[in-house]
Amino acid sequence: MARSLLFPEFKIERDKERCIACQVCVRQCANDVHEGSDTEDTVVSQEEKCVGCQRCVNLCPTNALTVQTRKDGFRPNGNWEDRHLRGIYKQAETGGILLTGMGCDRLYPVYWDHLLLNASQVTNPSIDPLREPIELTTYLGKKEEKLDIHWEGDSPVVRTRLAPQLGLEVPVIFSAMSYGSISYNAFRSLAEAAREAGTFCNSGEGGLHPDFYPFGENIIVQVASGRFGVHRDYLRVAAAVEIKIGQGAKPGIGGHLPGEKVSKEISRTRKIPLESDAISPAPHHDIYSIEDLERLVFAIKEAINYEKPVAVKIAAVHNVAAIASGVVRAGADIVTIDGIRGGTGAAPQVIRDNVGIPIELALAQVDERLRLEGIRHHSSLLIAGGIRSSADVIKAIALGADAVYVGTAALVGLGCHLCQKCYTGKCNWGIATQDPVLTKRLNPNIGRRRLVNLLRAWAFEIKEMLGGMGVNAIESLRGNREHLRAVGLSREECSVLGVKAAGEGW
Amino acid sequence: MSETLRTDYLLIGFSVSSWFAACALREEDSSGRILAVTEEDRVYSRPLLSYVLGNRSNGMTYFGDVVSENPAEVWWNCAVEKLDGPGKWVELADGRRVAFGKALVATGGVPVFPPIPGAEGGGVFTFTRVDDMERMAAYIDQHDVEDILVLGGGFIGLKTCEALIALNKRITLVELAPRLLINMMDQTGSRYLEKALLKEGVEVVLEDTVERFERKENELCSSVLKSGRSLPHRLAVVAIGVRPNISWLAGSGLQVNRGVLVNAHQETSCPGVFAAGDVAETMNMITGERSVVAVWPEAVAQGKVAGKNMAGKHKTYQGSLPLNAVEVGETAIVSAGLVNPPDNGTYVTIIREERDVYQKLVLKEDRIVGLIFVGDIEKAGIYVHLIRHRIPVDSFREKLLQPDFGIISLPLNFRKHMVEGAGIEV
Amino acid sequence: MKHIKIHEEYCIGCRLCEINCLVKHSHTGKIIKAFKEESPRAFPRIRVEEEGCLSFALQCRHCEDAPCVENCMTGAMRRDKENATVLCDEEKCVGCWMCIMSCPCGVIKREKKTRRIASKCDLCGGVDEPVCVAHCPNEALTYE
Repeated sequence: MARSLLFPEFKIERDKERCIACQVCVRQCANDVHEGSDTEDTVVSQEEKCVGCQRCVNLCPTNALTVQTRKDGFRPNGNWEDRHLRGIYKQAETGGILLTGMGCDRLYPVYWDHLLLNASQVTNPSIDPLREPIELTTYLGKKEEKLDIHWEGDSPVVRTRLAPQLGLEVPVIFSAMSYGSISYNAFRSLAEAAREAGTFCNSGEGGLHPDFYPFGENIIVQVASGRFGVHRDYLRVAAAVEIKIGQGAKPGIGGHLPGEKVSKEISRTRKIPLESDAISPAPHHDIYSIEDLERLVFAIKEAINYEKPVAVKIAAVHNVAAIASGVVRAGADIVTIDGIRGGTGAAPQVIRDNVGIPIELALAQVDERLRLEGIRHHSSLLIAGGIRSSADVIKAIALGADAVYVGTAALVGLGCHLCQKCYTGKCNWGIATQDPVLTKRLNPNIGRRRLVNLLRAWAFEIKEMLGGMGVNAIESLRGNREHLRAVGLSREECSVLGVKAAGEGW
Repeated sequence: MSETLRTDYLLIGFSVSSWFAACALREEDSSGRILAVTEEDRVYSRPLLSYVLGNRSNGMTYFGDVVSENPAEVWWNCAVEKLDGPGKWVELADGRRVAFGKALVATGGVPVFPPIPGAEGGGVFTFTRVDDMERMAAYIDQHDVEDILVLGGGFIGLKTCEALIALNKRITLVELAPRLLINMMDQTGSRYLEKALLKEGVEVVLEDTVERFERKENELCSSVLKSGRSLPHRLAVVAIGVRPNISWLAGSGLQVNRGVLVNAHQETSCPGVFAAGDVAETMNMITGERSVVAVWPEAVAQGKVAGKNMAGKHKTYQGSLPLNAVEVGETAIVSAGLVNPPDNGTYVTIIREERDVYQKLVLKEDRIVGLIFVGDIEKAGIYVHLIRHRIPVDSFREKLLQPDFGIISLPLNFRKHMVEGAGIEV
Repeated sequence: MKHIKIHEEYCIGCRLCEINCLVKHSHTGKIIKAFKEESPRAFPRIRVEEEGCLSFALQCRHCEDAPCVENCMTGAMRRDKENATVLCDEEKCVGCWMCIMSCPCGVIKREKKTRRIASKCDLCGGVDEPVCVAHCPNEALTYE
């Protein structure tokens, strides 16, 4: 075999003074990077296989290890970056599509970081969240044009039949990650945390393992192009159903879970034969128009007796505003839009990094379009794709979202170090894997605790920021772009975002 | 007949069996009188003798709280002359009689001492009681003893060697059989033991015995072996065996064989009279044959069973399991159960042998019935547990004696049961 | 009495429990010194057993009906009156190994001090949380 032109991406430094050859690193690396010696008290590392997941660094009891990106010494070239060279070497060797995991990591502008929040001074008092209640509760679903209220004696009675709603104690939902793409323990952590924190998690397109049916009230189930695991009880047990048309990490293409990963439990959950490939087609083969979508939306509403909201998830692409408008008109109670930085368990790198648009721009345009058309209240807007902090959440809401999905942030909360090797199935943190040796590494009791902590911390921060703006309910911030100002953006970007430049007054 | 005293429970002899019987009795009967009579002047741990002699233990006491929490009233220096089982009384050496409700015969064993010319006159010792040990220690000091002969390569002989090695004495070990520890070792195991002894400077003489002891100015100076060889030594320990102490039971009405025969409740042929420990002849749990298994764990178990049954509870003894450990230098040697199975096709052995490690399991059908571990003994307890509880090993047979064998190798239910213990989950 | 509970479904086989147990029972109590400078090196009182994808850490279960206590001829192996822990009194132990022969879990080891003695989990001497539990990265051991 010809010699590979690739060389290690990472450099492992082992402090000989500190290394006690305890071999924890050896035992923890699923990529067999570290190797101990029985005869000598030493451990050596083979960097070729290192993915930079930092598991060994984290568990080393003497902090003897550092794993850093290796300076590979290619001749600097403004046009030919290292990643281009690596990509070409790899493809020249394999002849295949470059696969990757997680969200787009290219340096496209992150508009959250160019948006700044307002605060009250003198003329409009701010609110201290420790002294006064600040409401974060959010309801997702169709809102009525008007309410028919009658008074019976002293008490009001709403006569209008209200559309079904999802009630969230905090406007953050764990986004769609299937059991299959993530481990049983990871899914359990999400489901338990969602229940404890008063929010929801999303089954992804992998069906719902029977063990998670008791969590149905906090689960949104997905119906995607492969229809895996979809049946009556699956739809009925959930709090809401989401039709997945597209995904921000890979708009326009389908998915593929290789047969090797279709274990007994996964085959049972997805309702497909053991070890058969699970292929999600790129389009839904029964949806070629908004009218087709409408038929599916209502077919599902029929199935669940109109008792729960139905969401439709699309990727943020160039014409997203018009598409979203069609989706609302097709009867979706919730429109989910997933931006280019949205994560995935596996996607072609070229798609992930080059297809779609940032969620901030898509959100601003969709919200504006729906308002202009007078149908914004027909659906709630749920956005996904690169929410990293409570600041991103509150900016998204000010930009027009009702609530946000977090996927990557939740996984990072569970221990993910963004090595982007989810597609290999060898996640050393026990998250994106089905290997029984690795899945044990995520104790769902710890996972649940960490996720609940994360949401609680974000909720506190959101309340602080709201209080500072003098707003006592998150509802009052929604779509209020006067609370946002842009820094470092062009006129065009400001105009697409519908946000004034920093320094401009009301 | 002089005065007759009465006790609810009489313990004859007061060592480990009696102590555990007394504790078991007290658990069941909070008020009955428990009287123990012993010809010794204190309670001590008999197996500790060799460690005390070798200066490896600070004292002879076991169960530091034995005196403070002793549930029995003890008459020291008080030998029993005679037992009338059906009549339920004993006669003490001083002529007094004690009537009892229930009695436990726990008089242990006495050393076997064959008639060897020249043994009389000092310098030749047996080694089973604390006064033997004290006299021997004093003799070593007074006579500046350097060379010692140990006659008998059985368990006590080896324990004696352990002690004397610790005292840095020059030792010659003489054994009549062709190898050492003939009961608890097999051929290979004995070889490892001989190697370990050699490393510690002990000379091992096999297939030979002492014909006579020789004296100079009445002091022991050497012995002449059957082979004709002459060995100089100032002290000799005769450790060729122990037999149950039953001679005083003549006419007691108790059925005796090699020891006192007992049933699974430790009760003798005479209802109300029990026996336990080195004096009792019990059912061997491996072979099903009756035998005297004179080891500490069995003395404990038998004492407990006897005590419970004396108090009217129904408790059954599971049968005896021979179990022993010796350590020579760095080499630890343990054995349990049947280690030299008859060559009749019903037994299978599994062996692991390395430079300093020898492990052997004896299996009958799907159960382990015996083991020898030399060198690496730390997991011996797991195997002993499998023997004792007759756990079928077929499902994990290939893992036996593997270096990573452990609780994890056992079937799930059994593993959980073991590890769970007091409310512990696995 | 608190027990160390074993949750085998979360044991990741890293052996940090063994490593930290060793350090706790070392002369210096400092990890790098315990491994690199102390001779003989201390050893752990806990053992990780592994088979396929199953693993768990096992230490003395401090059995209610502890055979090692009954079968100890010196009284060195005893049950602590205050917290019911099974402990070995180093002063009294003579190394007869009857405890090793009686331990169904095989968690008693021979330790060489001035003489060889039996050595086992002491629950770190009555601390709030034994080191194996405190250092288990995945809460596969809990003390409750």
